[in-house]
Amino acid sequence: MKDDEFGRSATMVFEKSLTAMVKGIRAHRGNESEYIQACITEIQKEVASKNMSTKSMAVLKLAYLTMLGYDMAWATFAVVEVMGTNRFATKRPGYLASSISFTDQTDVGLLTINLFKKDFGSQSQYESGTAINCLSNICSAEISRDIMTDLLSLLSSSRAYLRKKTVLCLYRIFLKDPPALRTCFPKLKDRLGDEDQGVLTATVNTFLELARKNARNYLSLVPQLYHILVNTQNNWLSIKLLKVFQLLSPLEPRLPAKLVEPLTNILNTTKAQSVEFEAIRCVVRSMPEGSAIVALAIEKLQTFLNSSDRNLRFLALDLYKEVVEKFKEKTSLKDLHDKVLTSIEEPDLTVRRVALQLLDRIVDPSNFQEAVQRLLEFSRKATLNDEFIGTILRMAARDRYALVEDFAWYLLILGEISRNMDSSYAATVAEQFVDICVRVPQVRPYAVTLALGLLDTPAEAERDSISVCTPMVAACAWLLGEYSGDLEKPSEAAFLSGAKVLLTSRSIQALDAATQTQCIWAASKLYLAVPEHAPSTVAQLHELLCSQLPSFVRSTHLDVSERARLALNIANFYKADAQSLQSAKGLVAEQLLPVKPDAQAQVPVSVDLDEPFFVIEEARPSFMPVRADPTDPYSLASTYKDDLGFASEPNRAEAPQSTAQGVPSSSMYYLGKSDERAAAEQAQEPSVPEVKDPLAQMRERLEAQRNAGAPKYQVMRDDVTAPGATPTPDAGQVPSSSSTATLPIPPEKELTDLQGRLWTVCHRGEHLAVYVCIRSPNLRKRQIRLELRCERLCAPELLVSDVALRFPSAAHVQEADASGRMLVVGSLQERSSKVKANLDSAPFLWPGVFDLRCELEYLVKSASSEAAEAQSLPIQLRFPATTFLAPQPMSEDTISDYVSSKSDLLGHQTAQALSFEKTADLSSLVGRCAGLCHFHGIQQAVSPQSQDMKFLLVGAVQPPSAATLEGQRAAPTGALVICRCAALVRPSGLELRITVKAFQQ
Amino acid sequence: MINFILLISRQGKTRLKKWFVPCPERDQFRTIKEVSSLILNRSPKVCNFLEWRDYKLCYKRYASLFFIACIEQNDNELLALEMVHHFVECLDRYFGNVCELDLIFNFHKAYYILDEILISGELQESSKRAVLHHISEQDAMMQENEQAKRKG
Repeated sequence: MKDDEFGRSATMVFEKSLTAMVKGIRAHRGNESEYIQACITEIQKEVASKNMSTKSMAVLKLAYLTMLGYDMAWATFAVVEVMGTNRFATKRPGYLASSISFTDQTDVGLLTINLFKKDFGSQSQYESGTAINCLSNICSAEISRDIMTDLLSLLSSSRAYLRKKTVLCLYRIFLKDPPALRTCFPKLKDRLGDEDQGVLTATVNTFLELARKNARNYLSLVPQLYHILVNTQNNWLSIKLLKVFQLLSPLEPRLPAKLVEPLTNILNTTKAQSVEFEAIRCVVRSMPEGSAIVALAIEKLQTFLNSSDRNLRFLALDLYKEVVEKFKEKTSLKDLHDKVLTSIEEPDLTVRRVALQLLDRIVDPSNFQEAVQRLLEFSRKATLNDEFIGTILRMAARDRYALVEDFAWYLLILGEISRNMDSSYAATVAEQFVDICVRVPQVRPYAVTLALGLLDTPAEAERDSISVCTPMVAACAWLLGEYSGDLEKPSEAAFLSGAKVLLTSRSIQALDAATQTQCIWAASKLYLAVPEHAPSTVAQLHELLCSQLPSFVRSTHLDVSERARLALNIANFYKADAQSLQSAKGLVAEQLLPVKPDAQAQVPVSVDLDEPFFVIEEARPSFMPVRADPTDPYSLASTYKDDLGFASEPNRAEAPQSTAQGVPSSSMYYLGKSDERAAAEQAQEPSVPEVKDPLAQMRERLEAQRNAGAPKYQVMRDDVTAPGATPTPDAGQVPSSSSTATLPIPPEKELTDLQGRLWTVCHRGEHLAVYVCIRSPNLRKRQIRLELRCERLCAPELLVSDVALRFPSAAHVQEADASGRMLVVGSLQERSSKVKANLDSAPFLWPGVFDLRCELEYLVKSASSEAAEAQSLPIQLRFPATTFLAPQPMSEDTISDYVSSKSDLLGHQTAQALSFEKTADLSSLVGRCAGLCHFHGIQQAVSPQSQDMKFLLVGAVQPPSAATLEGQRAAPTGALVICRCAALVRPSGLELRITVKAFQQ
Repeated sequence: MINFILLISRQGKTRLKKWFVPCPERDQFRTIKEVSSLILNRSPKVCNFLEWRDYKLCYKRYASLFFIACIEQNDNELLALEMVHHFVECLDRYFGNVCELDLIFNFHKAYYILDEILISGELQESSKRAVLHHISEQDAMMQENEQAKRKG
């Protein structure tokens, strides 16, 4: 076998066999390209040779060189020549070379058509097979059109070998020449019944690929495919079928139920993991939540997840993502959580990425801290840590920090991340840092201290550079300035060191202009807040500002310079005088609240600048700290979630009081027992002389604070929006904007109540009166309910009994028997009770007033006479024109499209004018009318100045049906009835003009 | 559906490349470079699948050769590995304990075998015996041709 048939075929002197060439290349290590260049020169000569064997060998050698990166486009014509030789020995290398180097763009493609035709008809199945192989690579639309008939005959060839290849090749052809699919479809479908397993698999394969393009087209194949699925033992075939059913089952609601049995069967019996996995995937994707088979599939998936094979673990993890997404129930999540966390550590990037995505989806408040901690650890170890940090930030920010329970802890995490200078998430970290402080007032004392710690790192003292990332510097500066009041009392030292770090560190001036501006202004804010919180440091701060700001004034950044000058002027104005500085408090008094990004846009333009933009809500005190009593377990158990909105006024009163008493740890984080407090203080105190990592200090504080009792956080999850800017769509109000709105149709119950009041007399005779109430038709059941009642009118000595209403035979009434619908059985007293009759609505086709001719029958007997006298009277039930319309939900645009394109269906027009004395709540009135008359309503745009209103009402006519009723004929299909209703406000009252457009009768 | 199959040696040399979807030669080389550097750098302890552009790469190392199949997002990865394995087994039976050198000197035979296993990126024959039977019949046809020619 190993002998090369070409090795012995050298006939010309300079001809080299493939083996010789490969050997030569290997022998010339170092200067291969030179050698190969020489070979190509040889090949160029050989290709021109008349000897087909030589030519064929040359082409084969070229094919080898192509793989090494050498161009063979120049030899395409020779390749086609070799493909066209008569002998298989020379033909085969030609086909090989062409399938390696030709594409559908190669312009010799058309030369190949006759070759294909010839080889398809060859005696040897291998010649045809090789040609099909090649065709699947180089097919173009032109080739396809010319050889379609040959392919069709190959589809029903007697050789399974050829049928199989053709079926698979066809898919590539359909891609190039879509109309061919229509031609081939019947014959291709026949192959689903092929007795050869290979052909069958190939056909299912081709249909799978086709279904991926448009699954709906292949729903008709479901019975056959299902049959194959149930009967096959072939693994390859099963997988392909499961794939097809994944695509089809969302389109056919009955399919999932049918699939339960075969899928359960496969899950329980198959030995092939690929089939089992595909079956699980099929269940997850197509079965409804909560079914037994889903539970079985998830159980099987668990075993994959615990498998020792890392490929299976990866696939299971990947699929779990879908499981968690689709089935919200968290099946044995604890297990999964651990599994995911261990997978995150895997060195495999693919696995890690999937695990991170999964973690993001399954994490909940109870395991969030653990997950974050683990991620942070990994991020320190890993070289590419951005995805870990990104996941932390994404998880935390979800639903406004819903997962975060301990905000102080999370801020510390953010602080740790911000130490990592490389992270591309620096800006997001800073943003979250500020956002949390704005939203969670209770965490501010901790946050400010942390911010100060982050800025004032010991490293800075040595290297004079700030070790946190730039966006975080700006965030910390802002926090220091804004929430300086939350610094721990006594805060003199903190104020001083804060201002110092903001202004003196030289590295600040190396940062970008915006950050420098932030720092300058934060320092000024500290200065302005000094008299209230640290009165003894006024002079020092003032001096600091006056000495440091001038260097900022000289900054090359205009913004920085300007802001520094402003700050300097403020400092010079108020001097080091605590008294005068008190009066400057107002400059920074207003608190900032989280504002929705689009709030600004919602503020009305015609704004009075003297009026406050936002009404200060009374509920503001609800954000005051809630004290946690460590001895009260209930208070500890509650979270910020359930005490939102409960003001703790007493606590608020208490807080400043304790400050006044000068208790050093008056912060709410030091509410613990006195010894714990002392411990916390101890942890605090030595830190001043000893140089210690501020983050480590903050960690200790966090510990202390946790020991002292869990702090309670309340999160302002709602953003401030401009009040009253969102117009409540109040019915009856003139719409403020010029947009169209769907008319509010009253709820069905209200309409039913209204209809129940609309009784009409349909007969009033000598003996009795009949009233009818017509309900809305049930479009699904195609029925309409009538309610009927009788009233006795005749003298009391007459006995009226057995009243029945006989409907025409074409109108089928569900409750009626041979004698029609009985309204009263026995004698009629004063009034009969309500009787229902469900009438088949199918025969009512015409949207016009219609009188249904019925027969009223009853017996009358006078007290004197023995025999009762039968009475029979014709009566008419009148159906209003709109009874059988159906609301047609359409937008204004689609209506105008309809009006312009279907003018032939709108030939009939009637108009009516009404006037009202006063402008009532018009849109709800029109809405009610539209509801009663089965129209869909739209309130149309009018200019904002005028009070006029316009409405469009649309209803569709009944679809045609076979039933016939006298006086009814079918309306044109798709016809609509359109009402335009214009309400003009005049001084005299309201004028209503109603125009109805419908098809010509 | 398989988009392409690559055989790459541990040194990064291409031993076989087969695209089932038309792809210009320049792009093929770019892809080979990208894919082989991705895969050669993976540690042996990681899983055999990786996502690449909009596709998935399934690969397996047999001795000194990486067999790489590029499949579509919604294809079955395990099946792709089985297909690769099927190809390897066919090669092994044909050459008798196949080694990289066999594929270097008989690169065209590897293609012939592949063409009997896959067509337009789909599996056409799952029986090794059938594949080898078809191949040996075709080899015989070529031999006959040769002999006929020599006689004539």
